[in-house]
Amino acid sequence: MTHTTRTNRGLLRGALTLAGLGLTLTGCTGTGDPAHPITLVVRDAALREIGADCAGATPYNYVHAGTELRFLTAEGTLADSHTLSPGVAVAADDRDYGEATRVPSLCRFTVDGSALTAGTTYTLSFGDRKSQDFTYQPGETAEADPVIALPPLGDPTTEDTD
Amino acid sequence: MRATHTPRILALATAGLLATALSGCTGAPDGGLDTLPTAAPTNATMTPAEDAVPAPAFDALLVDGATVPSADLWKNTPVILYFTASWCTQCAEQQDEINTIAKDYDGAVTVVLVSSDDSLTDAQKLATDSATPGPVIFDTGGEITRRYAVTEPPATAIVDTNGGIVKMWLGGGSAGQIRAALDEVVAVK
Repeated sequence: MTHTTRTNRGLLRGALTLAGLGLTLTGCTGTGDPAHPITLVVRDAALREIGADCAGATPYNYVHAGTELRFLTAEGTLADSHTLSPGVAVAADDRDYGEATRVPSLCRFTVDGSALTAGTTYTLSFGDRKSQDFTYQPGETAEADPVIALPPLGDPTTEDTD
Repeated sequence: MRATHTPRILALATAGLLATALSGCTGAPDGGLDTLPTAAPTNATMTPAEDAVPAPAFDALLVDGATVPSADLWKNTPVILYFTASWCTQCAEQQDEINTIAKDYDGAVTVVLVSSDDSLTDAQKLATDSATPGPVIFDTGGEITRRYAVTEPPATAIVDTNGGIVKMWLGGGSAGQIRAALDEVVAVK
């Protein structure tokens, strides 16, 4: 029941690709071009003006400018933390919404992963709220920069397809 | 006698000075109950909108600790109900326009902020930093925000004196939109 369909996974991955493309095209990371950017994408599909400042919409209201994003090791020690700057609204899909000024969007934040160790899995927390695990794999190119999707994308290679 | 009374006088004086100092340091925060109009203004005529939909009712916890039923917020004047947060950059820009509108309507409109901040301290700071002229609600748990289907600040609603939503804008209304909606329900003499 909780598994996403292949169609939904495709749409979500497409949206994240669009978000990554937007990041590449604008060259704007929201935190001043970090050396090893990690993109945090809140997949809330809220209606926003593309390019406007944003925060996570319901039920992700706890992700906003000023929230401290922490990376915790398996032992529970703090590996790195960042205070989020305002997010940037990016298109959730590539549909034409005509004259609409507010369209389905995702809220994208960027943090610097320079202090993280490649191949290491961290538990994320937003403020005092523990979230998902994230394995840091720095990309060779901007298109391959690591992405934290909130909520996380399912892994089609391990999911039950019944 | 004098030797006996002197310490008491000193103690009383010290207590008085301490109380004065504390009250000066911990005065009522901005955005409290004292910013809510207690009577209908005499310089304006209210005309509730015929097609307004009822505004969801709630009990508002203000940043000074007072609790107010929502009906009391708009019983004397129409309200600009503004969903905001201290961390919201767009909200700060729109707040300046709302403050200007409130000044232009000269007490005939009440601005009520609904703060989505994580803590009361942040909401109190918002009340001060925003220079808002009216009460500030600390929407603990986001209950009011959810009742108005606001997923992310800013958002603006105009509520008339009958408790009806005249207009509402997710993402916030422009100054022109807000003024046009207010002009439907209030006329300053």
